[in-house]
Parts: sequence; structure tokens; C-alpha cells
Amino acid sequence: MTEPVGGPWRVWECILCGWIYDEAEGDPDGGVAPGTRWEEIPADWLCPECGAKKADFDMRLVA
Amino acid sequence: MSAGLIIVGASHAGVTVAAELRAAGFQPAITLVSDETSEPYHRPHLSKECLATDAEPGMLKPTTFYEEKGIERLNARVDAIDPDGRRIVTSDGKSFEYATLILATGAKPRGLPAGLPGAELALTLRDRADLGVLRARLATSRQLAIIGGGLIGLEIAAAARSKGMSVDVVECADRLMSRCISPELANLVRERHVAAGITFHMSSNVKAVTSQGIELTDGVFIPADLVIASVGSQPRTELAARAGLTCDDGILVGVDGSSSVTGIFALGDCARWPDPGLTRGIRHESIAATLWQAKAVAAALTGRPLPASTPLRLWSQQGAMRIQMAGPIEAATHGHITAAEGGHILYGFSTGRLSSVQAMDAPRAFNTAVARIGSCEADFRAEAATS
Ligand SMILES: Cc1cc2nc3c(=O)[nH]c(=O)nc-3n(C[C@H](O)[C@H](O)[C@H](O)COP(=O)(O)OP(=O)(O)OC[C@H]3O[C@@H](n4cnc5c(N)ncnc54)[C@H](O)[C@@H]3O)c2cc1C
Repeated sequence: MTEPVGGPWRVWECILCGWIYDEAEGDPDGGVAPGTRWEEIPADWLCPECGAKKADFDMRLVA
Repeated sequence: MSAGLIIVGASHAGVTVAAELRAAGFQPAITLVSDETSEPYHRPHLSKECLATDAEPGMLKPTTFYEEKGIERLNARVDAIDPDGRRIVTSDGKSFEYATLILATGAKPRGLPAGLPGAELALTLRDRADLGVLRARLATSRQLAIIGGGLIGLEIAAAARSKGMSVDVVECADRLMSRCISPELANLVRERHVAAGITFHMSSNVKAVTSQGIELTDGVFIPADLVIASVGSQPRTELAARAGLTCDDGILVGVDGSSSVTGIFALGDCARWPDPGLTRGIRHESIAATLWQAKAVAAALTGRPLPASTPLRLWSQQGAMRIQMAGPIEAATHGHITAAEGGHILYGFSTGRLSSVQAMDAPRAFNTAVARIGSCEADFRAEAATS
């Protein structure tokens, strides 16, 4: 796969339950298409596992 | 239409197993039957933000999800299963054929002992309908008494206190949350609740509930205009038991969720799942266990290997306090508690290895530590010595 526009895909982790959001994979079941940048996810999106808010995620430095 | 898969119960277990099956390429028709009218929602929100902020619970999936995935939703109560004819019957008398049946009927609040005077006066919280009733009563009450100092009871206590109500908690044990956190951390949590103005009656038993409050067996009377019982839950197994499935405080299942009756699986809070260290198996009653089981059942039905097991996590939001747990607490023979990230973290060890982690207001340190479950105790000692 070619390098995505805007730099490599990043990975975010839910600080409550540890669920991983990978920008490359998105959250299709939650209405977030693969390749969706973290910033583009709607503010009312919830962690699919524990229902935590977007603000409860941290960027993971080591993907 | 040929008989497909029917799932009874459309909450964390039912919805997730349906989603996992579709993700694994499962083609047959899937019907999710639920006796709740609400679209499937995050149940843990009920005792957290829904009480603290009046928010509605978040939806488990976007509304469009079910149609996109070819998952039909049916609002009905299933009253009977005919395992020989492979049919279910709903309360409106309709019957539906299945090739495979999954029971995800969850649990209901245990409630106070039936013989306890005034037991019927205490409210309980399990679903959205209960939330509606509870909110209406909270809005017109000033003094709340909660029976049960477990996770959910304390979440409700903290939410009510943050709204200015006076709150008393009655707990029969000498410590809080005995099923899920160790005494050291439970004490720290209690100190915080006491500082916020919550009154605790530890090692206390209820003699009667009245419209004026709670009478304890030691003679103490706690005035209250609202009483909530939060004393655990019991699995909803009536339907399964009537159909002849083997149950023992939960529908007994194998490692793939299969019950004692061919073609019927069970998972989530209604099921008792095998656990390596335990003869009787376990009802973990958590989102983490439910989601893992959904993966296992989906794997079994699509002929794939079972998922690897991971330490099960639990979390709780009590006012501003965030508590997290992973790994079995009973297994730990000793532990140590340290300050981290402005909060506390407790490492539990057994047979020389990290076996459980619990944290209060230290979510990042918690996540790092969970990843280390199974690693050598000696490493932690060395780190403690150098830090
Ligand atoms: C207030 C509260 C807070 C919680 N907080 C947390 C938390 O912070 N973290 C955590 O990990 N876990 C938490 N839990 C536990 C978690 O919610 C459960 O483990 C989870 O909901 C189990 O999912 P389930 O689908 O098996 O059962 P349930 O969520 O109970 O769903 C079962 C569904 O089946 C329906 N049903 C039952 N029988 C029938 C029938 N015969 N016909 C049709 N429908 C039927 C029920 O109405 C219900 O909708 C909490 C639970 C409660 C009540």
C-alpha cells in the first residue's frame, strides 16, 4: 500500500478499556470508514467496546 | 424463507455476536429478538453519565448498521423454545423456526429477599425503563439510601451526591466492592466518597424498608425518601431451563458457548462459561467477558479457531473517580499499591507473576500495567528499588 496522504496512519487507544482505533481500519460497524483520520471522526462517536467518549482516547506513539 | 439464526436478547451479547458473525462472512438470515423497545444501547452508561448528567445512553451501533448488515430486529418477548421442532414462540403467540438459536437474555437485579418487610419499596436499575422510573423519583427526592456497596451501587451513590442529594450506603460486608477490587484500594475509594459527603453503614444488615427509610438490624434508622437496592444480579435462565437446557446459576456452556442442547448456544450475563481454574465456571458479568464470548461463538459457528484469551477488564466511574480492574483478584496472594498519574495503582501477584492490576484515577499507567500481566514479580521489585 502506498503511504497515505497526510502522513502514516496513526493509532489511538481508549484509556478506559484499551480498544484500539487504527486510522487505516476505521470503525466500519460504527459508521467510520477505513482511512478516516482521528480528527474527522464525529464528536459523538463512542468507543465500540465500552462506550467511552472520543476525548477518552490517547494517541499511541508506537503503532 | 429457510430457517436462519435467531438471537434472543439484543444487548451487548446479542448485538456483538451478530456483528462478529457478519464480519466472519456468516450468510444465513439473522434475527435479533428483544423485549426492550429501545434500540440497543450501552448498558454501563445507565448508572454513570445517565444519572450524573441526564444524558441518554449511547447507542451500541448506528441506526443504519442493522439494515446494512442484513440483521433483522424484532421487538417481542420470547416465551418458549421447542428444541425438537427448532422453533421459538413469542408472547404474541407467533412462532419462528431457527436452524441455530443463541440465548443472550442477560440478567436481572437480584432484588431484596422476598421475606424482608418493605422489599417492594426499593427500586433497582438494570434497563432503560428502570432508568426512567429512577430519574423521576430522584428528581423529587432529597434523601437517598442505597442497599449494596458494589460497583453499581457506588456509581449511583456518587451521581446522586453530585446532584446535592444526601446519600447513605448500607453494606453487609466490612468493605466495599468485595467482588472486584482489593481491600486496600476499596478503602481509598471509600475515603474519597466520605470526603464527598456520602455516609456508609458497613457490616450492616437491613431489617425493613419503609416509606420513611431503612431500619437496620442493629437498631439504626436511616431516614430516606428513596431506597435503591443494588445487591447483584441473577441470570435470566427461565426460558432456557423450561426448554431443558442445563442451568446452574447461568446456562452451562462449553468453551464455544454451546449449551447442553444441540443447536442452542448461550453467552453474556445469562451464561456460565468454563474457566480454567474453576470447577463451576464463571459468570463474569462484564462487557469484556461478553465481547470475548461473542467472538468465541462466532468462531464456532463459522468454523474458525477460538480467539486467544486476554485479561478481562472492568471499569467504574464514581463521581469524578475512575476505577479500573483487570485479572482475577482472588488469585493474588499479595500486592503493592503505589501512587501513579495523580491516582493509585495496585499490582497483585501470585506465584511470582503479576496476575491482576487495579487503578484509581491512573488510566494510562493502568493500560501499561495490563499489558504486563504475566510478567515476573522480580522485575517490579527491581523497578521499585531504582525509582
Ligand atoms: C447499571 C449497570 C452498569 C454496568 N456497568 C458496567 C461497567 O461499567 N463495565 C462492565 O464491564 N459491565 C458493566 N455492567 C454489566 C454489563 O452491562 C453486562 O455484562 C452486559 O450488559 C451483559 O450483556 P448481555 O447482552 O449478556 O445482557 P443484557 O445487557 O442484560 O441484555 C439482555 C437483553 O435480553 C433481553 N431479554 C431477556 N430475556 C428475553 C426474552 N425472553 N425475550 C426477548 N428479550 C429478552 C433483555 O431485555 C435485555 O435487553 C453494568 C450493568 C448494569 C446493569
